[in-house]
Amino acid sequence: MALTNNRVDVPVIVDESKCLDKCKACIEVCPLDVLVKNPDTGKAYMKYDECWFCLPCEKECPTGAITVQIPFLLR
Amino acid sequence: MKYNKSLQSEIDLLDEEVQEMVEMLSSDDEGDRLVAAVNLQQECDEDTIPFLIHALEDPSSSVQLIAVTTLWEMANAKAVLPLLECINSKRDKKVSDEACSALKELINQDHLLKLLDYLESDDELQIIYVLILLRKIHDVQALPSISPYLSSENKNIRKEAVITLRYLNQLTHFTPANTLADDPDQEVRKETMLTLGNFREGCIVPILCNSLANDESWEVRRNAAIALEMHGDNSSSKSLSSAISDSHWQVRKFSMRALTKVLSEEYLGEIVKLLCDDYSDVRKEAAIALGLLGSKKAIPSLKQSLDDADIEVRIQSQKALEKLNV
Repeated sequence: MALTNNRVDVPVIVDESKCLDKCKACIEVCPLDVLVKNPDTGKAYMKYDECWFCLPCEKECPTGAITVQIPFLLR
Repeated sequence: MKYNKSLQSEIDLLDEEVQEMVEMLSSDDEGDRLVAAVNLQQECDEDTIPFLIHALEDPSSSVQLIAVTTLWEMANAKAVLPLLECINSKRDKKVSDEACSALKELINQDHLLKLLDYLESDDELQIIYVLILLRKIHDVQALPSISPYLSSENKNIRKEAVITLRYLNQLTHFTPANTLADDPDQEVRKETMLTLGNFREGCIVPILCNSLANDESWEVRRNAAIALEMHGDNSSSKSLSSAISDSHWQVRKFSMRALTKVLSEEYLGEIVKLLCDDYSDVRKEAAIALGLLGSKKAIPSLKQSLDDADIEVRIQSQKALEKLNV
């Protein structure tokens, strides 16, 4: 899978101010394992630019820190 | 939120990994408690139920919400009474809604008396939730407790109470519900019509006919037509034959459908006119009715409907003509 170059221009956007350091809910539920924790900040981010837009990461996040931007044609 | 002594002693019986999460669930930091609640949700371990019940009293509504969802997923009867404590206006609306959804799946006949206790409350939101939950049990023993809420000042309570009535087994009539057909609130009248459709009492058909003819809301008139279809009473045929010329197409459609149960050749002219209605649903019902009526006078009109723009109307016209041996 291709690594992401820019953490803003990806489908899964993580609001770092809301993301909890110890929580791994989004990482556990992602079927493609594309979300990981940044070891420096402890916040989740999208490491690989691959997404099925299945949305459990957004739904399971206890603080609502994740937004999945679904492409217009898939809405 | 620290655990009491009995819960503390239960922690030692848990797996090491779960123990860590349960201890984190009583942390002072809200973030830690959220993480612990999410982790316990993923573990879905029945031994953690007492701790999740304890988390229902957490100061954070997000933690409470996850605890409610987890208890719902575990579907254990132990959670019913603690979840009942969550359906009131003191809680966050999201938590109460989630708890009510969970209880819809978890409650059974054994919880009837407890629910009736919760119904006697000053909290209007709690009353509404309990009235909704009583539909799951549908026991007629709840009637005396529901009855006072039919005259509540809160229109939402009146609405939920009258809806709940139609879920009660063996309830064939209940006169206080009849007066709600003239309620000032449209939503209450709308639901009352459907409830009256389920009752079997002589005075109900005239009430429904009156609403069908005179109510200002088309939704109430439509529901009155649906209720009259459930009754299938010959005395309603006059009102239904007038209602098939109503200004709203849904009222015409459901009145036409109700009229098929009490058909008479004297309404042939009015029914044939509906074959030219602007709405295909109405035309379809008219074609079905003409087939059931079995009058040869309808044949030319039905033959014209074979060219209708809507395929369903064409199919029903064809079937009607087959019934008339054409």
